[in-house]
Amino acid sequence: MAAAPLTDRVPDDELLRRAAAGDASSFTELFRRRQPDVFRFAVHMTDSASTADDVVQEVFLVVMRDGARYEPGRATVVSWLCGIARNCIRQRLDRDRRLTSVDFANDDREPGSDAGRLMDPLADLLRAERIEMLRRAVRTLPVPYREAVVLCDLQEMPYADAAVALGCPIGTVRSRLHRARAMLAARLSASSRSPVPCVMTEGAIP
Amino acid sequence: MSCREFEADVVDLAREAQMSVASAARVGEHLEQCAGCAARVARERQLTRALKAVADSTPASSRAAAIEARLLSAFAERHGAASPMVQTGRPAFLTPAARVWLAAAAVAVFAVAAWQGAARWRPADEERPAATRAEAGPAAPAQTTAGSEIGSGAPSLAAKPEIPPRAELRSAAAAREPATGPAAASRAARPRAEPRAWAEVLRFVTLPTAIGLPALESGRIVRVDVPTAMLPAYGLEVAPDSQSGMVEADVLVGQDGQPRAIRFVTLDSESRRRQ
Repeated sequence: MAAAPLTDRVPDDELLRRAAAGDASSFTELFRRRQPDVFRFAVHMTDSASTADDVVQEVFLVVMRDGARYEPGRATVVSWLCGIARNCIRQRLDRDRRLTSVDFANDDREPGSDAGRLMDPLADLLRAERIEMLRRAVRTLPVPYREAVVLCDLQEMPYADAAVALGCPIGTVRSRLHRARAMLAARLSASSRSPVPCVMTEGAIP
Repeated sequence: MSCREFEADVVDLAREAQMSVASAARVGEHLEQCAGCAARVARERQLTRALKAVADSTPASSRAAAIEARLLSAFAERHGAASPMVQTGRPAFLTPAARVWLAAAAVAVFAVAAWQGAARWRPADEERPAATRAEAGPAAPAQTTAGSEIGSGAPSLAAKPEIPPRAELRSAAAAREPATGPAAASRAARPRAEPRAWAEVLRFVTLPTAIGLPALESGRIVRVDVPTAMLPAYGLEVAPDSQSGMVEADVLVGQDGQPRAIRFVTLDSESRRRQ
């Protein structure tokens, strides 16, 4: 039977099904499509780009091994992947409480498309400073609250999917998110009186 | 709605999360009457925008390609599948690590061939049928090894009979597609409007070791024997009863003596019968 063309129209769960059946192209497509989601979740949770890469690899090794165990009606693929990532991250956090920091100023990020907006360097620097401040505040949240913020706010995942990824009821996700945002607001208020040093990177300013 | 009840919905409101029509109406009514809660929503919206900025400024992984290559290698080992690049027939799909892996396979092929002795290497013109020689096109004049050498000109599409692959030796992609039927007929009838690259014209697979070499100005096609165990590295399936045999392959060697591409011809059983 001819294989259907792999395009964005192929749903994640179908790609996963094909990958579990041994189709390397589907596995590749799924990796390319969902690796950024897993990486972002992991990098915000672990505070380390290299650890996040390791988590990505672990997650897709699990996909390779246990892809057939995915239940389409129970969760979206991305929430299932984030659930796997969460387990990997928790194991790492337990093993290594102190992970190295991400050096966002020296990474290889792509230049932004809105570089032309850098008309006011001071304003951009202040904006970058606020972003860095918030990023640090997220990093210092307790893990359950950080998970909720990262999935719901940074990943913009619906409550239902986040609940699957976190293995808890939707109400718990909402309450954790509510509490986490209150913590962030309090920490930002405190941090604004002692701003952190920040290196402005062109293109990083939204 | 009281301020206390409003507080339960303030995050959803600031995040523009889905809310029932009834809840939205109650929240809207309360906001019109309560400046404190309106300010509270404004602060939460500010936080939402700031979190969005954090998300947008998060860099992508710089090692995604390397991870993908490692995973695909593991996937191939696990499923006994062929190289994904060759499976799909899209050279651009080959990741850097996969290129290294394929290069290693290519080196192994040539090592085996060298071990078997130069006597087994023979120019294609000595044994290839006349129809096959014509594949090199008019740029390879008959007096110059009768088609085994390729001139600097672009190969012609006019005289290009193909060496039909044997049923046992086929790409994984081809294995998934029917060789007959309307789809196959459609493919066969499809006109070739544009000249293609030499490797594609001659049904060769470019060797990773050829990447970065000078442009092909002239070359020779050399027929070699390759262990069937190496075939999966080229995305080819091997019949179970042929796992330990040899196959013939044509290697395109450039003007500098460097191999550029490879094309598999027959299985070992066929070779032995002919010898």
